[in-house]
Amino acid sequence: MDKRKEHIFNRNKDGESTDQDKKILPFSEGPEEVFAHKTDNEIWRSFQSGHEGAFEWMYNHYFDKLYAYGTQLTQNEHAEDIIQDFFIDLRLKRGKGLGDVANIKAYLFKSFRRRVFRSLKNNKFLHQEISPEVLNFYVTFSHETQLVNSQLKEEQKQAIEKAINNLTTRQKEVIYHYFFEDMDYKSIADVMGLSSAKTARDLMYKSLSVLRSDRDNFQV
Amino acid sequence: MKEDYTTYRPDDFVADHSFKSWVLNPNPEKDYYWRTWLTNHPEQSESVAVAREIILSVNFTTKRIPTAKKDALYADIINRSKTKEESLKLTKGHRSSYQWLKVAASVSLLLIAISVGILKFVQKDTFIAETSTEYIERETRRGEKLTLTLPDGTIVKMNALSKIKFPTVFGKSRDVELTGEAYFDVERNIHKPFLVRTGEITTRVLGTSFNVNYSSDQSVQVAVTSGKVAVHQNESKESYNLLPTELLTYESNGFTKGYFDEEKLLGWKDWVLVFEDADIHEIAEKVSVWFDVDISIEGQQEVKRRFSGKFKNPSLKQVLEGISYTSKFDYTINQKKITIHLK
Repeated sequence: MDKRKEHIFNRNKDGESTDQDKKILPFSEGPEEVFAHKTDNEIWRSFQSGHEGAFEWMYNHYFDKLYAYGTQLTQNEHAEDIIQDFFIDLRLKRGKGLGDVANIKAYLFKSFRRRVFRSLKNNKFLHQEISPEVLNFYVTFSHETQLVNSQLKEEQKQAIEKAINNLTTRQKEVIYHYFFEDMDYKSIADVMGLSSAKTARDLMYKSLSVLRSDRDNFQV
Repeated sequence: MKEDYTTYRPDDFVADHSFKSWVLNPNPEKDYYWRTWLTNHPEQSESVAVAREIILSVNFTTKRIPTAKKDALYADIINRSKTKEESLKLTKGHRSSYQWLKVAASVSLLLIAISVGILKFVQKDTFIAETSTEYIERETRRGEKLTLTLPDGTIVKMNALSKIKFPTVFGKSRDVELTGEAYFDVERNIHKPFLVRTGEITTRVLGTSFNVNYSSDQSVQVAVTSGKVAVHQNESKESYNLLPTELLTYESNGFTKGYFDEEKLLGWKDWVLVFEDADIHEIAEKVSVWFDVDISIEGQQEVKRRFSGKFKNPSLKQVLEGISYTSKFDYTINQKKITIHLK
């Protein structure tokens, strides 16, 4: 449907326009309701076939998550520009040979991650060259989490936080996806381009072994 | 995959997706599984407690974007990708002849519209230019919207029932007088501030986009979508700075600042007619201005019904059909007169 043509119809003040293609979008049938019980694959196919609501649904569900992730990766405010370009391209690419997607979240994280790295590499938003290895995930280990019967002493918590922040960026990213996004190892491997779920799991164990070396942290 | 959890140490639990997922995002299914398992393996309860605490304590310092801004970004994403889509369509070389026809048809329609616009513009402007040598005045009637480009390249979208006045050549500053509502996409020029004068209030910018609504009751609303905007009362030196998503309202009792819903407030500029919890009188008012029609309301007016909805570039019939269905009324259209019968 040519948008400009519609405008001209309207400019003629032709209130009786018989063009039946235009859609009425009452709020009562927002994307939330429409896609509540659909699988990722079904939502993805709707998106591919040009369903505007499917795009909106993805935006509503993943914008905050991708933005939070983007600010971790870039450590600067240009995450906003990158995420905007990312969604524009995503919408432009629909129906143009994007394959089937069974896990929308992993797909979005994976392609968003690629986009962030490309932006950083192209120096578009930064004044200096930056490599993924120096990117920083800053992990805090909450001292506020008060469980009824706390098993961990304050010093133990501090030791864990210190240990986590001494991990490599790759390990921290695994931790981020695993804890903050509650992803499974297969998704993490997918997003980070690791060879298998086992690689992601191994990275997690390596991280935990750093903690384990300080046995006290885990001894009850 | 069910693991043998009986030999797990705390870090094994931490590294187990199924366990971690239960801790982070419990649901009845996961609860059932883990509670049953724990009842059967009390000897592991301490390890589980430690693992739980570790999982719940890992935090990342992340940033969030306010909802209003998120919505503004969404509108921008849709607009920009639509514009890109259009230009891609028009530049694509290989397409079927049928599609070519469609494109050609819409392009020629567009050209006709543009030339009609130019003709009108020229006629009206030369007329005005003869009587007053310096200023151009444009006015929109009911049912009409207008987009124009000012001498400096600034784009102005005028809503219905609005009037704008600007010089043919800008002087030291870019002064524009407005009554009614207009959306400005100001061409950046840090040497020449852009001023929108609305009665007692002046809005000053260097290059940004924002909406000004100066109603007949003398109140002024300024809403910013990008960049920074300063608003001040003409006698006063004090000015208010506004950032994207912020809305400033000036009424007889002074200024108030808040946020705005971009679609609701600015939908008109993208031909989106938005109702939010509107009663029948508000609907009638909006529809009559949007479509240049007169509306009279008959029947059961005591029953208060509210309607929320949005229509993208609708026809009059689509709006009435859409609202009458949920708000329970019949309507008759007699040329420009519409009668609504509330049931």
